[in-house]
Amino acid sequence: MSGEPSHGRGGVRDRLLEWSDSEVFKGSVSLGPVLALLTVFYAIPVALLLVYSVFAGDAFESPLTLEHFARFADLSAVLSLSWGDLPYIRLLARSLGIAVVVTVISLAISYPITYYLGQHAPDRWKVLLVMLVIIPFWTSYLIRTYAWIPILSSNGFINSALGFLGLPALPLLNNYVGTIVGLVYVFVPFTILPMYASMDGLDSHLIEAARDLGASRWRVFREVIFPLTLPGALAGGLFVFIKCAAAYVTPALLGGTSGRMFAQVIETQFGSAFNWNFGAALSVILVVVVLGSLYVAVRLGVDVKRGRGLGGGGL
Amino acid sequence: MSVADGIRDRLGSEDGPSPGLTAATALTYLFLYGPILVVVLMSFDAGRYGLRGELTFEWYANMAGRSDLIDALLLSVQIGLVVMVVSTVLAVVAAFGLARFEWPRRKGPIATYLVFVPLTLPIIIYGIGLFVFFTELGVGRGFVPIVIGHVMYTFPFATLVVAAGVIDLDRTLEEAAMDLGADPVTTFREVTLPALAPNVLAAALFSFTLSFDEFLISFFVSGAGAIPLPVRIWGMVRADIEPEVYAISVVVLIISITIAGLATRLRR
Repeated sequence: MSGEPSHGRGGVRDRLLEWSDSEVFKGSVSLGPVLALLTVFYAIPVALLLVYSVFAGDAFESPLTLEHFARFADLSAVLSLSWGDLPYIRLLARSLGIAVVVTVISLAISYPITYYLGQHAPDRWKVLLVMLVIIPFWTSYLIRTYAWIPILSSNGFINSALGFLGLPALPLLNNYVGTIVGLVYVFVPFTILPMYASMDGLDSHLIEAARDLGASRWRVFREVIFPLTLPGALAGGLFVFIKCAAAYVTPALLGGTSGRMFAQVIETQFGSAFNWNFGAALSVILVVVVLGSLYVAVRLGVDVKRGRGLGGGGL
Repeated sequence: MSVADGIRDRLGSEDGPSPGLTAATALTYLFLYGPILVVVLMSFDAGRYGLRGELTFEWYANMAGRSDLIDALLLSVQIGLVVMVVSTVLAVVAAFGLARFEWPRRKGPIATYLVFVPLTLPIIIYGIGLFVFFTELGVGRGFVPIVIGHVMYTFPFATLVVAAGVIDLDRTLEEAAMDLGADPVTTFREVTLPALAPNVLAAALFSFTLSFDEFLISFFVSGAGAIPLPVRIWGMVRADIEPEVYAISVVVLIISITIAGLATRLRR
């Protein structure tokens, strides 16, 4: 601290300093530019999709229409419940189904490891062990996803091992199994990290007391650990769900046809079908699903802030 | 088993984790790191279409000779550095606005708009929106759209990291400096910034690694002249895995694991 005195540098600087000391000035100078940047380069581009979704062709130059949303949900087919004529709704439903399965598996995987880290890990290893969970979170998910190709393929690691044991090969790649495995792998830190925070804060005396009173391990889990870690589990699970609902890379690399997901059909509209308006309508639907899930979860009391406490992640 | 262990066992004491719990934890770490090890293994294996069990450095040699891969790697580093600087500066400024200054009084909606919405909206939607936006403007694809997209993407993370530091900052230090006659600018430079340095550095490193590994935004706004490495890797993996992709992936993993490890340590 070598605070040099600033006397005698002239009145202009002092006056500027005085003026710039007001909270309104400081608040607007610090938040104004970033709000403007985020509006121009984030909000407007996303809003542009909303605009495109309601025009027949070029934005503002063609007639307004709801035909793109009608193509997604053909009303007559919806009313007569003919699912066969609603391919986009079925794809969305399957994507959300996959997202639910991935969320449940991620939570199931997260309980043992976070219980170990929170309650049993030796103190000097704990920091390292937690860091080891966080680090993959910040490394290329593209690489971590395609790494499953040599593991799951028909002549890959798992099927070679099965063949060695004389067992029949399993179809694991280019189907929904590949999508689910890949998504669990990429997103499981989203549940591990907030659940670890809950497990770490869990008073171990409660568990000991329950055990001393004769509760079985299962009962301790059900009546002590589960309820006390539920907020972390719900927050983490919510993030896994909304990230999975919009997954593109994993199903495109590992999912084949039966593991195809909604974001892929959106990309197709911009990449090869050149139907921006329909793609924009599908994008709007995906955003509504994601923000709608968040809204409902917050309304039901899920503490969403827990979900991004420790992690972040490049996803 | 010693007598003490036997007694403890009979008493049902819960000193250590059960073997099942330890095994499940170990399996989870295997799950987290297995695929990363597979990439490393494949990068040194001679098999072109699967594991052959012969050591080779051919893929690394090929990679070093492929200008498309090296150019893409250098471009990704370049984008990452520009994004790192811009994103960190914006994050420091915004963090003070969110965590320190009295005005505006209600920070909730601003924090939601600046940080929470960008963190939760699907990245593919943002990538597509940015693509449509720059196409409409006539800018098209390239370096500048990628940098802008990455800054918007890394900024919320960087802001969270810096804001956590601003909240934890001991204000008495700054007040002491002011009492001793330091003006606000000097105080900021000599007291505030050094105290915030770990968070600012962590934010910078996170911004770099997020940008370096970012794929979806780049996928939509990168063009012929400017193909960052993840987009290049995507092309190689989509077609038919060329083993060189494992070699360049190991380089990427080393870079991002080192930086993420450093940033995670700093952030604690």
